[in-house]
Amino acid sequence: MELTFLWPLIFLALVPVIIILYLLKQKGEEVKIPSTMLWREALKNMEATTPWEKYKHNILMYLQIITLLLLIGALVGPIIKHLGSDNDNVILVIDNSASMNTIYDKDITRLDEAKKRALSYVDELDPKTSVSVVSAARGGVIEGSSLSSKRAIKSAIKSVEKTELAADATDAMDIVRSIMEDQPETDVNIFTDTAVDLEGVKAQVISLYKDNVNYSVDSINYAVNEDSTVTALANVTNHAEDAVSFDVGLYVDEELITIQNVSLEGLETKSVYFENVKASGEVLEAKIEINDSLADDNVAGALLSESGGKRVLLITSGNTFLEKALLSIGGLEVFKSTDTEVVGKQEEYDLYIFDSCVPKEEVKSGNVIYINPPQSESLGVSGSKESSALKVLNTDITEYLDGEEILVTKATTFDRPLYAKSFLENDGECVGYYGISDAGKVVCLGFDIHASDVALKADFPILMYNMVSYSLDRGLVDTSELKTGEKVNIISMGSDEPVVILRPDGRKDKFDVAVSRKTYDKVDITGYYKVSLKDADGEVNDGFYASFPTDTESGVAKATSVNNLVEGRDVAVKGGKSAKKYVIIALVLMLIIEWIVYVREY
Amino acid sequence: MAVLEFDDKFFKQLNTLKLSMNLRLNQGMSGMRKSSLKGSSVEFSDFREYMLGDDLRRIDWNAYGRFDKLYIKEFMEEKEGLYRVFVDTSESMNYGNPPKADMARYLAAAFAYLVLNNLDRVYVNTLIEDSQTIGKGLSGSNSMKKIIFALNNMEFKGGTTLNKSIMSAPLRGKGCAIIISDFMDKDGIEDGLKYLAYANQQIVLIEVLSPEEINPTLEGSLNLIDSESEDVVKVSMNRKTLEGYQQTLDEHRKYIKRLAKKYMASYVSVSSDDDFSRVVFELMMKEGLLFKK
Repeated sequence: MELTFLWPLIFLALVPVIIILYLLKQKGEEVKIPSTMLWREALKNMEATTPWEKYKHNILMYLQIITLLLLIGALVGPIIKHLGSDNDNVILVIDNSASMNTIYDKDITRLDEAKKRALSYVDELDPKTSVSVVSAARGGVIEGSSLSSKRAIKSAIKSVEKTELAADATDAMDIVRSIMEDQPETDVNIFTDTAVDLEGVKAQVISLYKDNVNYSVDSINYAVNEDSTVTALANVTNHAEDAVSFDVGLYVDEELITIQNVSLEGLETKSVYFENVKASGEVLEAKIEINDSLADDNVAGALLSESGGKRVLLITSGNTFLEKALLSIGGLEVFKSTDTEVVGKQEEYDLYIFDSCVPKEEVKSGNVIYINPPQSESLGVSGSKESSALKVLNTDITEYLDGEEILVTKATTFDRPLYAKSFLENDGECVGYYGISDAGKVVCLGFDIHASDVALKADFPILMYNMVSYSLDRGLVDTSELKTGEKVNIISMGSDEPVVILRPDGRKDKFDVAVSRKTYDKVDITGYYKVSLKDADGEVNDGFYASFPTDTESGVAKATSVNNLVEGRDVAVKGGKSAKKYVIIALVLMLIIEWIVYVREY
Repeated sequence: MAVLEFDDKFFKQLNTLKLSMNLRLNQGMSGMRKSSLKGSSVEFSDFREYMLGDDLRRIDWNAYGRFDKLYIKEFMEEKEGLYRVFVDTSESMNYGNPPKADMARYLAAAFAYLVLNNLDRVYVNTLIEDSQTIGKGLSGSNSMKKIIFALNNMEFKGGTTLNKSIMSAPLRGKGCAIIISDFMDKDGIEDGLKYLAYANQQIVLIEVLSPEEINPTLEGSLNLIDSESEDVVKVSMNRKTLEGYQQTLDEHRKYIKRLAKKYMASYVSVSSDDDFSRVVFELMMKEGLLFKK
């Protein structure tokens, strides 16, 4: 039982007032009569018949007090919290985001508890009730729609799987709203552990939040030292209020390399350094060596890049800026040539950079950066413009650039190929693009570095680094690190064979990449996803590491029904079953009884 | 106390009536009432043989001539009846509209008048507190004035304990005791009645209640104050309490009626607002206390 308003309780002060008024009334008029003998006798007899008779003269007072209490009861808007429903239609939203894997009680997670409660709720439902079950992760998934058989409903509830995705019940509200368009009179019950924006939907939020002790490894980064050792940095957070000290282990391919102890105050995040660690393998992971309520976020990982430098062939007639910028990028073996003829004739390179020139024949396999290309149909050169201010678009290539414009004396414009995306524009025309062609990655920059203001700015090496690292990130996937729930693009490398993804849980997903790239959206558990492609040209292996979304799921806020202030209260009222009408019926009955008593002068 | 008016009508209607009291007296002064004794009245009673010492004047010489034996002719002795009218003069009798005291005094006057008319002797006594004031024994129709004077000067105040009050004075000889009261005494009246019966009194109980007592019309929460003891009873007047009162009143009347039966008394209950003619011609005659000449 909950009360919507508390202010009517102030009327309780009227109860003593009624009693005082009756006490004052009790004094009564004094009437002298010949003898009180018979009256005394009569009252004695009446009390003897009914023991409560002596209270009977105050029956109107008691009735009035009860009436007042009922009136206050009606004003406070009581809500009976119950699991049953009056409506014919019910939607059960079960939050199965990563935070729901937190231990709720003993071995039961919040998700288990949510399912348990949903099942017992279903048991209390009228057999005619039609129930839809929606799970919140993955943007809301309808697990069962308008089910009326309890067996089917229960099986739908049981089929809600745990995920390690960043999500909350708010994600399912679009689906709830669309269901409610057809069935406006629907009871919505949301089982979640965190705040929900109901966005005007009348719903009852069943909170599964409990104060728990949780620690997480938020991320791990590393740098390769000159001696090929690795310096790793792991960020760990204490989501609990109390200070704690625990060990953080560094693992390479699940083999423990070293351990560091860390002490954290309540709600503190700290970085843990592992210096000069010999790490050769595929996956570098940091793990918290302590039990807490949510185990999934106790590990974060990163992929170790292959040893050995990438081979880069720079074809230029001389460009100091470019050479300096390439030298500053570690892990590259840069070869220089002035002749475009060498392409394809000698050994293959990981990256070809053409400065103010294009090869006579297209590069059939490999990643290419074109800087200030001359007239070329294959690159889509469409014309040129003098004295231009180029607008920098917000893309992967232009990440971390400070300036919003680059001034050039002459800019080459392109008809952007279908596979590519612009990162520089002049009056809406593409001046720079990047993308993945059938042969490999292509980055095209449409101005001469010498004739621009960017060469002398700090933005230039950053831009170069971005272009090179994008181009060299040659593999089957377009990213190596992401959070669960994010999407990854799988690149076919021009092969017809399917890409096989070996998930951390051991399941293999075969992925037929018909076009040049396809999005893989089943990154729902943390760990290393190994991606491989085997065809006639040999086997290519790649992978990515999906980390736990610690920023949203490790320390969730308590579940409440969040809404705008005006509606929030109404929503809360309708979340439970309002007992107001029953109280009003009782009030009317009480008034009738009082009237009868008054008229019949009991 | 209001002065009572006794007009011609009052006496005329009483002149048609006679007290129906079957008193077989053997004591007291001579009067008009037959006694169990043989005496010197004109009423023939019996014959008996002459015994030595009998009055020679009473020998029936005609019988001697016929039977040759001496017979004495006996006559009835006529005595006067003794009537005691007890009027309860407690404060409670002063209440009612009209006051119960008025009805009580009219009734006392009526009984006294009838007694005097019958050449009997009447005492009008008042019951007050634990005792009684004994009126002068009066006989002869001339005494009516004195009785009316005494009644008009009666004061109704204080309380009365009927039992103790009745028993406070000795009673001699057979007679009739008429008690006029509201009988609102928590100790009851049985002891008093027992005493009167022991003293060979024929008992008449006249209960006088006010209309307010018979059908109370009180409303709301009241503090009822007893006129005699100042006792307070808090009563919230409603249908139930009024019904309870009526029931108790009925029980009270039944109790007095039961006592009346037990001690062979007559019992009449009158309301102070009853028409006097109705009381006399209807209630009293119905009970057999009075009959038409």
